Amino acid sequence: MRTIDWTVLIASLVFIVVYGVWKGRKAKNLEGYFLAGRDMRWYTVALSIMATQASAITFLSTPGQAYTDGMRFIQFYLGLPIAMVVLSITAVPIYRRLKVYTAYEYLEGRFDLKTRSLAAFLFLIQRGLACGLTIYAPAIILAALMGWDLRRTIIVIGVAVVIYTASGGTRAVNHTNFQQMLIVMVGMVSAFFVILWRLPDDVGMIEAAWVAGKMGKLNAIDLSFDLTNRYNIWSGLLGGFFLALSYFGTDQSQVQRYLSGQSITQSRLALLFNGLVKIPMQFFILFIGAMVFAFYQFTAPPLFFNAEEVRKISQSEYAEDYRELEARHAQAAAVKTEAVKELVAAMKAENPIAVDVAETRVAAAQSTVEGIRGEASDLFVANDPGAAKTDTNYVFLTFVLAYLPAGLVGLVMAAIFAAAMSSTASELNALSSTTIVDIYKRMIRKDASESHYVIVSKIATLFWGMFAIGFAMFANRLGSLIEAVNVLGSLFYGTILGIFLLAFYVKRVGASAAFSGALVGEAAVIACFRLTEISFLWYNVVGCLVTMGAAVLMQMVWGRREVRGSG
Amino acid sequence: MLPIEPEIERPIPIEELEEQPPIGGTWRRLYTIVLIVLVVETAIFYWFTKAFE
Repeated sequence: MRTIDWTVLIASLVFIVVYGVWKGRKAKNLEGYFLAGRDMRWYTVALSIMATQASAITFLSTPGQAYTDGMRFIQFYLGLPIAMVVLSITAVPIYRRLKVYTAYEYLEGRFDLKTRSLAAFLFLIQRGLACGLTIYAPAIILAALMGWDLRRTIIVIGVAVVIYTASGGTRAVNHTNFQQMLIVMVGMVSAFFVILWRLPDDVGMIEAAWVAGKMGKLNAIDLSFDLTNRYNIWSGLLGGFFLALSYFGTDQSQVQRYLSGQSITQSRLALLFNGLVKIPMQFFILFIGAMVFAFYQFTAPPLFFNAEEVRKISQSEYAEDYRELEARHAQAAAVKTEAVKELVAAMKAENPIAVDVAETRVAAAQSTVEGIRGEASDLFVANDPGAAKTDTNYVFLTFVLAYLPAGLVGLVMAAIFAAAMSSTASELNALSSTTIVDIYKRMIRKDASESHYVIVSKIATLFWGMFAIGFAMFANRLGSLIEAVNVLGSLFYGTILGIFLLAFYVKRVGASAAFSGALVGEAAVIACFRLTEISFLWYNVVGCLVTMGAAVLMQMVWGRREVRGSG
Repeated sequence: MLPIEPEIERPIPIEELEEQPPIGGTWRRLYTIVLIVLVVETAIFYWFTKAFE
């Protein structure tokens, strides 16, 4: 990075921290600290919701996903708008009417303390670990590509977030999330135009889309039904709907955002705005990846985008083998470029026979290139069994560093830091509110002063910040545990959603039936995970439906009526 | 015996529950708009997939 890039990056970081501390300086009581005094406007809440969901890895990984796997990932978000409508109708008025601070607080009123504690505990475990990964994931990519020290990168992101989140609470988080989302969008739009500008003179966006489409990267919708296929329209609509319902309806890091809305109207508008804008935004980010793919059809890409793995193998006994692969890859890429140019010419000439011939040549060349990349992956593993076999997360940033002009590199870096910080801030804020409201204030010290609760809330934020930074620092030593942490979330979401849907809709089900149903639902999800090939998006459906079904059955069999208000 | 009503209930004015959106007329209409946009987006993505494949 050049001086101007560093200036842009450091200036944006300092601005965010100072702005967050300044915006959050007025929090004097718990409602002010955790819910921003419930006076936020819908657009601030809406962008804060979007910034919370979109972590740095979203912006680093999603374009890479389109590059390697095409745009079918967009189907993952198709259930989200439906979930936003359902939550606006049900969860928002219920939470607002009860004036709760956390989603789990509601469960005690509807069921009992043990159900509330179970949900709060699951959230703390799952989100506490995930928060560390939210910092670690972009830091490891930045460290690999920029040559930065991993620990310092983690500390810079973590400490910057902790400063304004601990001092200003939700108001600071929402306002900085708003600004960070703007930085991210400006960074991504700038990157998109640079990609188009970097294409060859006779290739515009439409021609680039042709190339990407003919090579299978614009596969946005897949109508086939297959439970083992991770992304098709059915898993997206149904599995994505349950996942979004669970994430936005029961995960405190999101619930806290819309609880801070000025009124039910403001909270609903924020969710509906998210329902309208999220899919086009993700489509745009995926399309950037498809355009990067098209760009690399005319310009030779590196054999492997993960510079750290390349550096390691270049210093190993496999260095010579890798250099040979690089030479073969360069030749294959040149052959492919010629075939792609023929394809573009044939399409411009509207000659279907020539298109078919060129398409066959492109497919053969692509297959050769992929084969060489596969050989490179095998070489990495032979050198180091723990080496990364894929480079999806490194594609976009490699392009940015190599081809974006000075200043814009700094802007994209600032966007990545902003995305990492916004997600982390919301998570810390939610971990703190759950710790204080659901545990400390409920079970340890019920009648302290407001100022006492604000102080311990700041300490809790600080504690979770240190925990996240600590976890991130040691994450690279945990190996497969990281994957386990990622899987952990999808294992619990369906069950938690089942508990909440019982609470919202099935008035006849009491506390014991709901609690037992949750245990049965969780067992069903774990059985799916261990014994079947079913894609993870379906776990949410299974967990939710089994929890609800088992609870209703138990309630009928036991014949007990623990009705405790409709909520 | 557990209480019938939630202990934490702190009702807010009913007017806020019945408040209509500042845009879109009624909530029902706004929800319909969001769902129609989803259908249109899905159709466009399907066309996009087919047009460039």
